[in-house]
Amino acid sequence: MNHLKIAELLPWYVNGTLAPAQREAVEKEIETCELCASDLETLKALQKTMLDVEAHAPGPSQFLVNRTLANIEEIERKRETQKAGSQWWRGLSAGAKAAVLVASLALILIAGGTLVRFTNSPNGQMALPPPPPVAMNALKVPAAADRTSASAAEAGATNIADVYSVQTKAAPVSTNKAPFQRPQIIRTGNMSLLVPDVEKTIARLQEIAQAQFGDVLALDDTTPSQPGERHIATLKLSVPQDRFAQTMDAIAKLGGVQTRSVAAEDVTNQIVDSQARLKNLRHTEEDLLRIMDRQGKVADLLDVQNQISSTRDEIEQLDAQLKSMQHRVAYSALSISLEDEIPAALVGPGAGTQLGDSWQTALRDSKELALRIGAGVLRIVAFAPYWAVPIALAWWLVAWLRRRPAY
Amino acid sequence: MQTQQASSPKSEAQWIRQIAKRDRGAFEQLYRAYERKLYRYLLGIVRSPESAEELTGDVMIEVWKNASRYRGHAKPSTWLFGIAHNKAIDVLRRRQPQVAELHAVAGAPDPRPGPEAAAINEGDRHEVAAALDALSAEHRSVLDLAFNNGCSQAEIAQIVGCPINTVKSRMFYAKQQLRQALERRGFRREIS
Repeated sequence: MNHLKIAELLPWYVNGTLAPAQREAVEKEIETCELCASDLETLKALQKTMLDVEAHAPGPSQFLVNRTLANIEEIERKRETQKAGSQWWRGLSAGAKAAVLVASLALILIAGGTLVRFTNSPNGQMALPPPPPVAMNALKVPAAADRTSASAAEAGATNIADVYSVQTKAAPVSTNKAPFQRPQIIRTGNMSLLVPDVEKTIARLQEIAQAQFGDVLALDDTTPSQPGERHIATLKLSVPQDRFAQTMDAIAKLGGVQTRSVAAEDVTNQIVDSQARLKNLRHTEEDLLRIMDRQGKVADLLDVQNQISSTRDEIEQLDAQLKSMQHRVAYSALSISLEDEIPAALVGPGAGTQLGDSWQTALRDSKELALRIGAGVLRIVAFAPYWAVPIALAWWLVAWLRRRPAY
Repeated sequence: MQTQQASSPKSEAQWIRQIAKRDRGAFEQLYRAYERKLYRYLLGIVRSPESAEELTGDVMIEVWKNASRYRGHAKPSTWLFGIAHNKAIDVLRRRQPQVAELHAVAGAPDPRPGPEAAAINEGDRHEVAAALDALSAEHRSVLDLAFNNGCSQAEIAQIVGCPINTVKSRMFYAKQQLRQALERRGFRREIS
């Protein structure tokens, strides 16, 4: 192999993927060829730096995995629905399948016959059904095809070739913005429910949030302290935007829906603006860094350094705002209020509880009476000097009067 | 997804077979092993973090849908990067009909160590990253696949869908473009 052929193999010698024969040829060449050996060193350094750049470069958003997994669940759900739809056909007997096919063929023939009849009619026109109603926003913002047709009409195109030429001129307007220009919408939802058991519903809500690849962000659970109060809890959930409607429906099945509201805010323009500003700021920062590399006065360098610092601050602030906005678009917030259907007071105690309560009350009352009697006796004893002496005097007086002779 | 699992082509092929049977655990393992690699590769081609992120998700969804079509003739990484490359090229075509000319860089090969060596010796990561960003998508992808993902000539040819000789010439022009980009960025010092 000549020098040029060997030089072509060097990148793959560096990444270790050459066949043994090619590897040997390269090793022989670099022992004798100074240029190849030098090129090899350059390539080794290049690989090392590229790996270093990769190791320090940012990765994708941490929310990408959840979005992808949610999309896959959606695909599976649709697949299951389609599978169920096709099962009715497989479930049919051979005779039933044949009947369906014959009926379909007959319908096609009838429709074809009708078409031919209309085509051969004297005025050559077919009565078409009225067009379906068009949504207001569809009228305001025509689709790309409509715009091209309209522009063709404006240009006075009279035949297909004219229309085609106008369409080919207008087409690039729509193709440039194909997949990444979908509206960026922040969705929020509120729902209040009356449920049979708040505790169980909270657990169920946590399960629903996890199943939809979301999470419970906040929980405020107020357990009733007095009989008659209702058990109330509020939760905040965060779920992927494409799972928002499903999650609302799943939650609605947990109890009686009292209120339900959904709000949406279109932030497409804000996100696009922030991205553009961020890009400009990064370019500015790169330019400033290049200026720093040049030699100059210390005062000028300090000035540039200050500008770099303030630009970096702006970049970080804007980047954080953008990421926050993108997160709010990717994940919708749901506020759920739960309340017990029946307050504690309306649920009467059982017979056993009532008897137990009566027994406890009677015991408590009899103990209290015994204590009061004991206290009374002790008081009587304690006050004995005050009442025993007059009684003794009175008793002695009565006895003296009885002993005195009667006159 | 910050962490990447160490995996071998054999275990990855096994994961793909399990994904064909709708095994979500295997999918998550493959996802964790390739998310960052695919994202970085796609970012090098489409140059937009949002597009690269969306495409990474699309590639993995494609893997979920078509895992049963993987026959094991190519390495799993070749199959995955092939899907990613096709998707990225589709986006570039939609975005910009005029794909950068391959033969824009002309001239005979210069075997002397160029300014890229000087930049690398200085460890100037920032400059090299910017010079890599200045490369065309086709040249960048060949460099990425060879040096960041350890692909052989045949694997790169399979991924980007061209003959091996084209891969070699793209590598040659990629090196030359990198040299010119570094020179444009101010690396004009004397080369010995």
